[in-house]
Amino acid sequence: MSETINYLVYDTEADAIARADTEGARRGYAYHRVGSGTRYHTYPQVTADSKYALVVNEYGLTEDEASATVTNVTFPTEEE
Amino acid sequence: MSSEFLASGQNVLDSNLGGAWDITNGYAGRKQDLGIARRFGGSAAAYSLRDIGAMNGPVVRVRREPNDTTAGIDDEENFSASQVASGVLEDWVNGKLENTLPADVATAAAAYSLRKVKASYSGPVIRVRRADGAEGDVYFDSDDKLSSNSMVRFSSTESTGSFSVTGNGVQYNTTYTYNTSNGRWEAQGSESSQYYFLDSGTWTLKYAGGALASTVSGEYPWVSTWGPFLSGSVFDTSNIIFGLSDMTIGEFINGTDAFVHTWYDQTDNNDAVQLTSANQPKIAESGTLLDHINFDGNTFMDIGAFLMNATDGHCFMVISNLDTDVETFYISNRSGAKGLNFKNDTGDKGKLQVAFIGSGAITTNNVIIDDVSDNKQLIAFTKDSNDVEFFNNGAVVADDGSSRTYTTATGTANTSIGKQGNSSSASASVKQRIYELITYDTDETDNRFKIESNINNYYNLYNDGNDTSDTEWQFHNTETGTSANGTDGYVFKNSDADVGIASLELKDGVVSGDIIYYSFFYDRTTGSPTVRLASDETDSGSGVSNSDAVGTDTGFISGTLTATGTGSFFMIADNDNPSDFTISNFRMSRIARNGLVETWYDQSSNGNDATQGTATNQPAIVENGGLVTVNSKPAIKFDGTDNYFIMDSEVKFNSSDSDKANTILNVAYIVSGNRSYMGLGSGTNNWFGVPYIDNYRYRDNAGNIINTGDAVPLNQQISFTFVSDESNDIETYQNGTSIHSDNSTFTTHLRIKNIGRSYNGANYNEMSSQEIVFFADDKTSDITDLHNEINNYYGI
Repeated sequence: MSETINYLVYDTEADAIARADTEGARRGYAYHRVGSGTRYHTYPQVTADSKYALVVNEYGLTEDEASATVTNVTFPTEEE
Repeated sequence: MSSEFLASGQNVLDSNLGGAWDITNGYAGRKQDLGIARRFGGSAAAYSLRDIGAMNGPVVRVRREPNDTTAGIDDEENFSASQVASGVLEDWVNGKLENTLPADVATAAAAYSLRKVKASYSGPVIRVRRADGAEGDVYFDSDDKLSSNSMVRFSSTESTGSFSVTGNGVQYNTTYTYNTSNGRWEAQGSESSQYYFLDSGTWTLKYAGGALASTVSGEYPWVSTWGPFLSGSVFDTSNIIFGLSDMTIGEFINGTDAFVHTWYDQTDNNDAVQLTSANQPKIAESGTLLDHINFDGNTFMDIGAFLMNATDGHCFMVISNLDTDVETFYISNRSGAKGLNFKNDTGDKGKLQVAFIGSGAITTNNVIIDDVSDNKQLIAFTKDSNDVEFFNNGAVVADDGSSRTYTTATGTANTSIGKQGNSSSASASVKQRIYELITYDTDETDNRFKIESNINNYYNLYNDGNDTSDTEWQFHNTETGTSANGTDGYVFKNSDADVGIASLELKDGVVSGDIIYYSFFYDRTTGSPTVRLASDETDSGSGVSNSDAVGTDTGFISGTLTATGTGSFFMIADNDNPSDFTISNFRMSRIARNGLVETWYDQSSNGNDATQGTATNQPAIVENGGLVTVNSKPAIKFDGTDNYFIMDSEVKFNSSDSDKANTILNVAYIVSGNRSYMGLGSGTNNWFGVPYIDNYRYRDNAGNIINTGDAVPLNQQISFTFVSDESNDIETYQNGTSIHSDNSTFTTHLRIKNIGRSYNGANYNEMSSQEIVFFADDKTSDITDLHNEINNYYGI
């Protein structure tokens, strides 16, 4: 059975990246300790309606964030 | 004329033999003996896992999982090509190179061991008491461990005791134990007097009645400081003083038992002490030094502090020979109705249990400790506020899930080893052997792999590679030609309808919920095996886990088996008729160990590294403990879901701009793709599809699509090269042979910034990549030499 993917959706890319950065710091990735190397755990993706979705499975979410997560996000469809 | 500069010996002898060799340009600027990235006029960017220009510098930067978060100790490392190929990278991912001592990985609250576990510690290991009462501090030997060569050093109080004998010949001395209260050497035991006498020039100690003491210095705390002498010589002993000298513990305990008065804390915080001789655990038996502290009977030690009393905590212990029929306390800080016990409870024999006093116990679902077993085990638990998690030999152990309330211990500070903290004695039946005990007042989950790997590397508790009790693969229903290469792999042949089986017996059987991570290289002629855990090594129907299909393609295989029941075997079974395949580099562990690539370094010296700073997007170079390989050569595995690299600088194929890259040489094992081998990584243009709808197809910046009509061979190692003359003439090569030419479709360049991802930034290639070299110019004139170079190394 596949795992449900939880997203937080942001209006701006900068906000989404900032949240990803915070999680990377929480996990103690190398970039946040020694200034180089792995920085993020996941990275935002642009959605079909030009917002930015961040996969937040395994993130340390606040209560507000947890209640704001969604499981359905539409990404841009392919075109020929 | 080839632009390649050939290896020395093939060029005309240079008159300037003393010319300087330039690390960037080679001898006299002619780039001899340099890798492919620096020959042929140099490359624009070059990525490989062999050294093609790195000059023994790093070729990859790898992040290890499980990762650690210790400040200043990075879980990412650079590796050269030789380190990748030689196994150093794999060993590092698997924790085999963890030399950082446990109490240096993070700040320990207490650290007790018979080996050094904190690099800066220079104090004694234990204070030992001999059966006759003599005591001394024992220090590490030259290998930083307790051994028979460890020196015993006595305090000044003991060493200043002395007596003197005067005159010659027979001298009487009735004392041999130093009494600090009266400054005399006093008799003990059955020997009420001893004397020295000169015998053939040698002073010899004899018991009363003339019996010869076997060894003087070993038996008693004296060292003879003179002799022998010529027979008949006169020796004035008037000024001879007998006193204590440093000696090895082997000499000190010669023939006797010895006990532990103090187990020194290597953090210099709180020593574990037992003042009462009858309650002191043993460190030597009949003169044989033990490699553990033997808590046998009513023996225990007290630490004058509350350990594991903070909100968080982590405790690691190496133990053996626990008698699970006896209620035994590993450690306990219980003080009245507060604190905790880490123990073996006779109601849950062999399970790990932490009881929060006044709230209840948290116990593992399954038996972890074998009854009175010589096997050493690393047991650990974390305390995170009110929750406890258990670990055994590096693997997570299922707990009962309940949460209890911890009440901070107060009052007279004490933690006991071997008894309940607030009790006065241990059970007379207690049996356990302790080798190491380290506690932290922090949850060291993020550093657990590093700490436990160091412990395991020292005690060799579990084999991260193949935790099996077999020395080689076992076979059932196979035929002649089947053979094992130890536990590393085997050749498998079967040609009847019976299911052929290869199996390894797990050192510790699995129970429901246990997870086994595995990887191996699969070289197939015929067959379609499956992997599973099983309860009967002769019956593939006895599976107790998911059953993974290995498939029908040669390649690197890795996966996870989750036990659904009780079983003892790792099994690979195949009922194809015939079956003919080889397994190699087999790895199996209860610990998920992966190496993810954060940087694929550019070996061209242009600094155009390909990086991936997001953990979940990083492709793998080690999976489940095994180095990813294709045809025995290392490779980077892209999962086809979300793995890719971003080049530091964009390059352009079919371009005359300064960032041109008109020859792109590739070596890879392609599984699937959708316009995603490489490209810009955004938008619908600018991609190399290897494949796209089966074929090599490419789309330039203007949206023009070349369809070569040539299918990409999947699930096999190939080399493929794209060449442009900068004027829309596009050539495709595969394994050194031109397979397609097109000079009318492209009208402009193709932008490249991503490897492994392209179309819309949403499509990813599933593949194992080994080499990508971008040359700025059209290398058609060198193409044969380039492909020969590839073929010479990769055998494609």
